[in-house]
Amino acid sequence: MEYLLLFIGTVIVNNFVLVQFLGICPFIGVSKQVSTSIGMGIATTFVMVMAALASWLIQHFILVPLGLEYLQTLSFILVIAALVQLVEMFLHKSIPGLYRAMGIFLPLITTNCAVLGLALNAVLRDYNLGESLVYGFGAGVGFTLALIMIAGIREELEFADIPKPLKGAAIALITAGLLSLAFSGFAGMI
Amino acid sequence: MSLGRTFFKGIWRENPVLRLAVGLVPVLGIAHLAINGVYLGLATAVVLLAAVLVKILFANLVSKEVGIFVDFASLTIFTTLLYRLTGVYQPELLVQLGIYLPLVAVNGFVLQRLSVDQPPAARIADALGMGLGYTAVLTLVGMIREFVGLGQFFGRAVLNGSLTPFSLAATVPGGFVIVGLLIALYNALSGTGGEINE
Repeated sequence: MEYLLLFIGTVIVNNFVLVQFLGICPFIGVSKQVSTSIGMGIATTFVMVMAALASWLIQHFILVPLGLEYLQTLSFILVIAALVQLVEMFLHKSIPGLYRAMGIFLPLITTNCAVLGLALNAVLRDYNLGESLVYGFGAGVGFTLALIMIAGIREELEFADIPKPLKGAAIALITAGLLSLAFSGFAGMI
Repeated sequence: MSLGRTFFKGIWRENPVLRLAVGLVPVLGIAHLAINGVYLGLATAVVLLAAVLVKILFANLVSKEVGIFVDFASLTIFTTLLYRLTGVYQPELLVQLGIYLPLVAVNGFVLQRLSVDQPPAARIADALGMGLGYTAVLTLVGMIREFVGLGQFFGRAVLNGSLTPFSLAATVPGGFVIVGLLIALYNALSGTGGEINE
């Protein structure tokens, strides 16, 4: 039950993108088509779960016993970078179409603040291994959900008559603002 | 392009947030107060400049393939250093900036600047201009959100009840909308098309 609450809380109530602002870079860049968004979401979710696992192991078996907590950021980033490299190699080999579609955004998962933010937050809140994994998975699902929603809206916006200066990033951000407003209705639910 | 032009393009013509739409996380996450914008913008600028200097120094030793890892390493090292120094000298600031200070290391804007290939002098001018332009936008967004949302100017109450603050501006959704409108205003003023320049 606790895990379920944590999961729903992470996906909806504290959605990483719409409520916590994390992971906005790929959010604006990749969210033009629903199909690309799904791929990006799944890849990010995978990296997030792995990052939650890896950062928990590093924190509890290396950093704390050795008293090196201040190396958190450094070690987490390096682990995340390595994980992304793995995903990239895998996609390149098995799903080349998706690999091309994601283009420059794949390496950007490394610099996706949502991934590092998740690792840092999990440590900050003293989650145990199970909670960290649920938290990582929830963050990924929440990220994917937000990405798909915004992509769906942006696909429709293609046909709308938007004033020229508002095209692109501007309208995407305002749309995200409205979605975020809707999500803030969930605040305090859990 | 002359060094002066390289410097100034970061402030207006190729402003990281308004033109390139990168490095948005702190703009939305932390800049609901103007002072936060100043601090975080300067922190980002310092880390960027330090990483650029490292890149110039080791340019001949590091091959292209491992370059990105060297960038990550120097960014995280400088961010960690800054984090430790802030913790020693300004512990309250550390609490105020929260998770966004360590996140400087993965700011997409910083990495994007590092990946642009140019001669050393231009690199430094570029880092200075972009860092300054980034700080300016963070501060501007902070000022707008603080004034509209809380009726304050750098922590000082200025409205004195003559106008009710519109608290939405200081919250998450307000941040999205205000940055979106700023980008639209920038597009209208500079005459650039709205499409993101990737």
